[in-house]
Amino acid sequence: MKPVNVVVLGGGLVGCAAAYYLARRGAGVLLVEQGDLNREASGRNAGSLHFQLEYRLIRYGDELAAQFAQIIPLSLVALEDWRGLEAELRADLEVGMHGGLIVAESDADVALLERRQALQEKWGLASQLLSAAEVRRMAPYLAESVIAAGYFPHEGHANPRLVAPAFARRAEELGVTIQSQTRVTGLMRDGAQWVVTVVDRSGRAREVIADAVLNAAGAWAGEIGALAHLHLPIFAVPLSMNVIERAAPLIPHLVQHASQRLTLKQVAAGNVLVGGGWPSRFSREGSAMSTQRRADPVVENVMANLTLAARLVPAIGGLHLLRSWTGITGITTDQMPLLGAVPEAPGFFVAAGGAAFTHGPTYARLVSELILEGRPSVSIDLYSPARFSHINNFMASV
Amino acid sequence: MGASDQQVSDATCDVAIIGAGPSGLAAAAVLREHGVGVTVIDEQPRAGGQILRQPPKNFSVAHWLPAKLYDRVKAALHAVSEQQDIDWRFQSTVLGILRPSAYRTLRADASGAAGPESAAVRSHMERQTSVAGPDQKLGGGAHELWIQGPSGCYLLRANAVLLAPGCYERPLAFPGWTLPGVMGAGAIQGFVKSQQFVPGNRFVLAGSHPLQLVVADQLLTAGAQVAAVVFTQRKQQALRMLRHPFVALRHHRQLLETSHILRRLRRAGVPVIFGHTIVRADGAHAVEKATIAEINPSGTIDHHKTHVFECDRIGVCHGFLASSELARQAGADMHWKDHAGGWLARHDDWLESSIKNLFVAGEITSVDGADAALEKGRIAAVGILRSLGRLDDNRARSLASNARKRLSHLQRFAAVLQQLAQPPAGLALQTMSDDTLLCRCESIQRGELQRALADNKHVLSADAAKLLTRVGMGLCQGRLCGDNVARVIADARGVQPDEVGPFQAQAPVKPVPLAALTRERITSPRPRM
Amino acid sequence: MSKRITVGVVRPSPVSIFVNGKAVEAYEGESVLTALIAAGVLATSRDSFGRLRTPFCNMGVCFDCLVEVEEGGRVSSRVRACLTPVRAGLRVVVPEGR
Repeated sequence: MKPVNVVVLGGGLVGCAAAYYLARRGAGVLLVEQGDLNREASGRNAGSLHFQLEYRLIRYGDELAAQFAQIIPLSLVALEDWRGLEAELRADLEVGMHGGLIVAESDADVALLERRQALQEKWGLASQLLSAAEVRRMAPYLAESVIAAGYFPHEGHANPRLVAPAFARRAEELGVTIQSQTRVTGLMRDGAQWVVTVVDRSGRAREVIADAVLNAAGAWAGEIGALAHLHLPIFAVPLSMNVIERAAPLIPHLVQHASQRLTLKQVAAGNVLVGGGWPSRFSREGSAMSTQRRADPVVENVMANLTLAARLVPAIGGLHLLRSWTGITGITTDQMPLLGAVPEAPGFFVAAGGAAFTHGPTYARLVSELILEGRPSVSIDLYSPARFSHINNFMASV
Repeated sequence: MGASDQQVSDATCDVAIIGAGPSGLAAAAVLREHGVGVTVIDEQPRAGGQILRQPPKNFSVAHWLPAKLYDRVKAALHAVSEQQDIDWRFQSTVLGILRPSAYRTLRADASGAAGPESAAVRSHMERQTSVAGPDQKLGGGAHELWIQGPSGCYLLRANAVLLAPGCYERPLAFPGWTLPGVMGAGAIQGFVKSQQFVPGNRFVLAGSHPLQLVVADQLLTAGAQVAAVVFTQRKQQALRMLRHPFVALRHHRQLLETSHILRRLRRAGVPVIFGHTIVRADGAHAVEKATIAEINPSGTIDHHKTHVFECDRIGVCHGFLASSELARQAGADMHWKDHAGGWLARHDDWLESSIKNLFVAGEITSVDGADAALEKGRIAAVGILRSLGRLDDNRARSLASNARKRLSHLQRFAAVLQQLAQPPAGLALQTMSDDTLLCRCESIQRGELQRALADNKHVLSADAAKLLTRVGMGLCQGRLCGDNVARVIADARGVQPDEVGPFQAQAPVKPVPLAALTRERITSPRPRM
Repeated sequence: MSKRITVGVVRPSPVSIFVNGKAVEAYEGESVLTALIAAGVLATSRDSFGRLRTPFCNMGVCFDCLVEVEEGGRVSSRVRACLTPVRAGLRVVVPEGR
């Protein structure tokens, strides 16, 4: 085994991809995952590749929306990354980028679409506003209630089940060591190096010395940060997703709603996935919300999500809900990703938060460039953990 | 969902019993005697469970299930099945056992005038669930059942729940097992018992469970042809166990019945073949023949020693898997016991699971058969009365003592039977060829899973394999493939199947028509602005 | 051939249901699956390769008997035939061909 230059914490999409990109640049990498690879949000999300502003970014008024629109430059990089990913990984990831529609059902929705579009244009993403007739022509499966749609031709979806494992396989080929079902119990800086304590499934503990640590633990990134005595303002939130049984090809697009929580798409196998950020509910452990147990579904949210989906795409109304599942993802206090170095803890890097499926490969690529070369090929300063220095200023050992 | 169902939605009941089989029926009788309100939920149109799949109500059947082995369960059925003070909810599927939300749950219109957000996001806090009780059990005690009834979905709150969901057949995958005409032996029996229908002409029964003798006998009586009954066990092995002094003394009635059946089969010229297993089913569009092969003394199949039987139906019968999905979905502690039904719920002396006021009875605690299930139902009912404060400890103990005694005898017999009925270790791995469909729903072959495991060596669990290959992702939600998938992974990784784990169970535990979830709201579209 | 047991069994008068539009004799209360198999229909669905599939469990577990059922002109989604009682006039859609 090569000496370990970087320990990557978290075996989701970002962690597996970062391990790959780091190894491709010659680094020795150990990837540590507390459970199994790709079992949390990276494998449990609905696989949307959305580059237009999501509803969660637009719903809190123009001022905040304008701030959140800073994500668009990264989205445009991600778009190009996704185009090349299947070739890069020599794997079928079921990437389909056949366009995305954000549908409007009311005049207020249309007004919201227009504002969204103006913001997107300002940051260089050119989308179209389709009339009712144009929507009908492009997406005859949509209900009559749709009166307009924001269209971006490059949106789509990929299969979350396949992406992280493909990165992991290629990473292993490049010599990365992957340890799943292994927990990190200690992170200590010793001069210019990090001492990482890991405990495997049989309870055996060992210490790994590395030049750098990359925290790619998603919703658990805050807990990993705490091991290094840092506050990372990322909060775990429990969401739910629904999958509808296989049907004949009907919906080539990624469908979202202008003013409601909905994403809807049909995957390669024919199943229709319905989500959009509907909450599930954390299990309790004593008085605390547990992020170690599966979150519980909230029945009326499942029903409301599906009702909305069946209203917009009436043809799915005769099908069965196959499964609902819950997943835990991480949201930062300002909705932007945490991507880059933590200035107060040299050698400690973070890549978490935000739309980490769409952006995951890009986070991983850019942060690996930052770790190994000191600067990424595209600026990620807007997303740097340095914006929370006012907190960690009081945390780090000086 | 109509207006009346919305009323149902807010309902609370004392005790909800999931499953109207022997356990559920026996428990309902005890609870009812003590004046406790009982709601019984079952997917079938009538009570009785699989052991007593009743004929349709408007049929009249003379001498229905005359064999003595049904006597006790029939008595339990007749004691409560016509009781109108029990709230019977048939043709109803429990989709999940949920902890009551901290937020007010049901709202008639989650997408209505108040805005696009759900009730759960905006509505006020109405009640707070209490956290872990003093006795270390998980949860606050009350449960909310997500139910799909004949007219839609609703929630039912229960102060206590008895989960008695029974079991289903442990499927053996082999080349041709998805061909029309291959069924579980229990499926065939269900047609005969309940539908008064012989679902084919000429049957081969193959497996390891003595149930297939009963099915063969019932088929013969109904006028069908039975081409062969094939047991994986060697004859001497079966006889040795049956001669076990405990079995011979205590359960001579069952033995006597078995020997009567064997005599009737012999008289009808039905070959009963030991030490063989089904290895393939063939036919152009449906089953035309069954091939069996000898199992040598070391437990491996000898593919050179085969027999072929012409038939149009094959019934396979390799024991049972407890219907563990709801218990797992609810988060109850489980343990794995291969020969007793796979994943089983842990419980205390009163059959309370690790979750407060979620009691378990019947096969979900161990597949011990219908008579044992009756006693478990009785004990659990007393446990529920005790937990709800209707009985003090002493009274509860004395009330349950007879059932406990009977149960312990029955379980000793069940343990012998479980050992006897267990297929040889590794049989499932031998009957599946590389291109045998492991997962029927998603058409995943065994070889595909095996290759995925070879390419992704960090895949260690059934769930991880599911995520990678789609195995177990279809309509049956892994019920028909889960056991075999776990065996394939365990074999590839050199561990036991329980270390690979079952697929995670999530609500809804069975697929639901979207119409049942959304009907109300689809018919009242959101007003356009 | 499959057959209904008649000795000792009294059924109500037969009714008609329609399987892919063709009238088939059945009895109210029996399962749609029984009526289908009695009418010689063994395959109730197709797998993802388009191969005909037959029910395995007859107890609501395998979902291989999901059929489209129509009553009074209204598609009532697909139901498990093994758990759905026959009613007069029911229209059932099953895969055609091989």
